[in-house]
Amino acid sequence: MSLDSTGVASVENLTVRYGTKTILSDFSLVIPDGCTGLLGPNGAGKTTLLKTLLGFVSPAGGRGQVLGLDVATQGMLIRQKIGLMPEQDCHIPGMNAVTFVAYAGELAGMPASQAMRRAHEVLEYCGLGEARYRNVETYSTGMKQRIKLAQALVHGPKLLFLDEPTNGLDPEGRDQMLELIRDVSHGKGLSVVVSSHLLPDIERTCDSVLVLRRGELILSGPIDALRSTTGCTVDVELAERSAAFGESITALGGTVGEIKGNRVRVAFADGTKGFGTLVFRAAKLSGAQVRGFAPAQRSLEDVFMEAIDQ
Amino acid sequence: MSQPNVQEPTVNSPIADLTYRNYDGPITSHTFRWWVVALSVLRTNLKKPGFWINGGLIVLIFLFQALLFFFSNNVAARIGGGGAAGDAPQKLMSYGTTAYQAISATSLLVTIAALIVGSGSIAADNRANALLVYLSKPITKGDYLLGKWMGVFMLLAGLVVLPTILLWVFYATTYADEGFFKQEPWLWAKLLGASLISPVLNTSLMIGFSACTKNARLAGSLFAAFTFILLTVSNTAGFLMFRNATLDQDLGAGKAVVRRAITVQHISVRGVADGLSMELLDVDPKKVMAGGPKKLRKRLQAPYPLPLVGIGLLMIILPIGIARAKIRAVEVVSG
Repeated sequence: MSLDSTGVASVENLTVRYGTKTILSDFSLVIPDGCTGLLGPNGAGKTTLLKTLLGFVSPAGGRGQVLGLDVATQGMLIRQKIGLMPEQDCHIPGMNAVTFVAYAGELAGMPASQAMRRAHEVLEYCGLGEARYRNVETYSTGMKQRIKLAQALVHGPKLLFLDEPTNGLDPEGRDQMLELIRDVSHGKGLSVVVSSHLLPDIERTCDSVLVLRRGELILSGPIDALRSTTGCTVDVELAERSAAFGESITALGGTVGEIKGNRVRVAFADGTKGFGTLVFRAAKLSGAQVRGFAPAQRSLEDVFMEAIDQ
Repeated sequence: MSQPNVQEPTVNSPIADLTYRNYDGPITSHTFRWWVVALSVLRTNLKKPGFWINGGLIVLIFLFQALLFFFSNNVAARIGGGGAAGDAPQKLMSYGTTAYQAISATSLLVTIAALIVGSGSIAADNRANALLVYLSKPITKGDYLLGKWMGVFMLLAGLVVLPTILLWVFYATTYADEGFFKQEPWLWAKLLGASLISPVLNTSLMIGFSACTKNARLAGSLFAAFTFILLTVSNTAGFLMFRNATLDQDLGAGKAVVRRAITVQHISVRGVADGLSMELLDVDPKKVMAGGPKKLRKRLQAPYPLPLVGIGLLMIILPIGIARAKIRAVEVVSG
């Protein structure tokens, strides 16, 4: 495989070791444009992959590129074009928010006046406008997460790495953070890679997903495509829950899958013609009232669990 | 759900347009990126009262030495009657010796200043995971380390170099008509060199210790312990060697043995700075090393400069090397 230059980043046959422990082994992937979720259980190698792409970790083998720049030799140029929101709490001691974010901009090469102007803008965007003159050490967990995002955005990166961006956030803070990620990653000329083990976060913010397990890529693709089901599987919404409807479906050669409230997943064998008619026939036989039905979609959790179990 | 400020400008906000825009403004050259780090160290530490108290005490020491020099020369001129017409009066103390005594007397204060400004320079960053912020930006480990080193060094150097310059200006303005520029044309360069030795040594060691811990107080304690223990051990060992050597000299041992003992006495941060300053400013050790029996003082010599240069370089290179190895954006788990 040659390095793919169409995605924002890619690695080929990458091997990363910490001492004698191999974290990523002969690993290849392409990160597409847009918002991509990096999923995997703890210890899957998500953070290591991000750190390798940033040039923090020297790979024992293989190669990689980020925005067309070589990971091994062009680390500085890569870091000029990317922003990192690390998993751990991090700040520069003794600084207030606006000084910290402006300093991060200056470290990225922005002139001091531009960095200060931009720091104010980015802090407002991240919802820290009111607290910008407070020392970062006095911030709550949610505010610390936001300021990590602000310092990653200040220099206008083309690619943003977010490592567990909703760690430690309460439901409201989590909603706000996901809203920010969703906003920044769509229509702003910025690609985002969100590393998380929280499936709903990825489902809400990302367009495509890469699933890692023990240092191997086990699944990748657009989320919509991964969630779609094959064959003739539909979700039928009934007026009220009906056991007889299920029996009628079985009698007509179909199978009844997951039942959630008055929503029943019904599957027929591949190639079954007129399965819509069969649904209505089952409803007529059982006396159930069909409110509607649509091609079934699996949840990302189903997709993930299936991939992990394989 | 309460919404974040995404695309929701509020009337009270000083910035009307809260949507995210990419930055497409100028980017400065990478060459002086370390200066951003150094400037931050300067800004942070210039707010510390302890730094300014040290600075004030150092200025007082220089002022005292300048006054001592001025009055001692007036006394000398009066005793000597001003010498022959047109001759410069004989001085009790040379320009270099006075400057040496001032610089040497400030060494403890420079060490204390290093503790104040340098102990948290890297340790505090380690504690706050700030290296992830620094190294995820387009700066190298070298830029970071150079910035930290230069920031601390400029502060310490400022404490000694500025009063030293003032002392030179005092010499130049007061003794210009007594042939100061003729007698000491290169004194300014020698003073500059001598005043920088202690800041260079203290900065390097402090940065090295600071990089090894996540706790500024621990870094400061280790640095202070190292400086104090090395000073005590070298002074004790050197003094014993000197005493034995002078006794042996009575029995015919060479001057080299005495000089070796004095060199051992200088194997410390302060000792290296003093020894090299003495060499640079051409100071007679018999005039500046106080205490001890007269018989012993008569045999005092300047330490060998080359071993002191070697030890000084070791005190600079080793801690910087250790700091460089310790600065990492990720914790490497081995095994």
